[in-house]
Amino acid sequence: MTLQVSLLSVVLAMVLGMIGAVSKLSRYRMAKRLATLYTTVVRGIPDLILMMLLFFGGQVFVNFLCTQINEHLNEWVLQGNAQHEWTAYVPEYVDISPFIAGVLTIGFIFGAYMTETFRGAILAVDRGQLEAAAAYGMTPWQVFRRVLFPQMVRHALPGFGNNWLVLLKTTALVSVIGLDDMVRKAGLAAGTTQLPFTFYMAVALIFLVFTAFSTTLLKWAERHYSIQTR
Amino acid sequence: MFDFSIILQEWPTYLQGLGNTVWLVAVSLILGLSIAIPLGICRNSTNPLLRLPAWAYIYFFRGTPMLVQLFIIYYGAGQWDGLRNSWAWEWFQEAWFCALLSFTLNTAAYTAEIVRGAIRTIPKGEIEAAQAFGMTPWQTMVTGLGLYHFFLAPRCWCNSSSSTTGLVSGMACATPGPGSGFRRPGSAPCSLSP
Repeated sequence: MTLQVSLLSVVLAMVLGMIGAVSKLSRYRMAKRLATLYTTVVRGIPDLILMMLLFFGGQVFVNFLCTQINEHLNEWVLQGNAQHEWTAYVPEYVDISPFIAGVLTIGFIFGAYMTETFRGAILAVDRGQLEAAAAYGMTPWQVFRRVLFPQMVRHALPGFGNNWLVLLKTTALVSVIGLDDMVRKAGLAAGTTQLPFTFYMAVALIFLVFTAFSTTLLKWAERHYSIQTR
Repeated sequence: MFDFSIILQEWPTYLQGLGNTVWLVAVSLILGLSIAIPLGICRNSTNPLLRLPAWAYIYFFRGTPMLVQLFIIYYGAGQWDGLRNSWAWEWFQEAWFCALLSFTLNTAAYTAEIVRGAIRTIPKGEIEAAQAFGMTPWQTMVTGLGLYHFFLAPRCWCNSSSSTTGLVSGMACATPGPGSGFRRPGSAPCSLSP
């Protein structure tokens, strides 16, 4: 469960991070401002608070929105057809599962950190090369895929690795919103067996194995992507 | 939908909570720093008896989630009969003490890495020069190594402190009792009492 949450949220974070980085560097002022707002706000709020805000507050907000939409739609239909009976056009009650809330929040939070990482990586690529690629008549997508991406990966990897390690450890927080992850399982086991130290220590050691494994993998990736550089 | 008036009415409660947060962060950062400096020096030592324990400490505290460390200290402490029968048990029963302890140990590990990095940037020549002046290793460390190079470090140190602030709130949900009144939905209430 812990791994599922972290892998899914890292994918979401990468997508958000890429969008954020591109919009932060774009010519459009609006996109720039939105991305800056996003990174500033998210990086300034504790992860746990955001998670609870989305899980508890988001639930209320979504249900409020659904009720409002239903009301408006019904009123609108009623104006055209007096015999219309009240129907729920969107579900009246939506239940956000802790899993989805966890993935969304962690992805959302780390999207902001990834934005900064990717922005730095894009800036590190020589501008002239991008211009040269454009001059060869490549489409923006081709420029990205052939020139920008292979080079930015190299600069993004160390920052990305740090983010991933922090993210992995942040997933321990999803136990707070009731997801059956490792930490919560350990908590339940500790409650019944009265051996809290043993169980939490085991969780800590498993996390340690994950982080050690990730570090090895990231080192390998860094070496792989820095081949043929001076 | 958005009615903040209750928060405005109860702002002293929030202020008190904020005071706790700030107090915890400040004290744990200071205590953490005082552990981190010797730890960072040990981590750079050529003596494996100093270097390896420091490495293990830093590796453990940086490689595991802080929430888990907090739980190990707060809930896990009750498992040791020796501790429960000692004078320290009174302290370990207090949520604030466990929070402070885990934050301090955690931030010490991160800061020790920074200290270690800061020490490594010192040119070898400066240390040799200090020795050539007849300084003892202690003098070398305090004057040559400590002063201005260590003041390069606070910039990175700021980064690590901001993450500590966020996790102070993590203690809120690990704190049972009337203080926070927070219960996880669908979970058994956190029980600590033996």
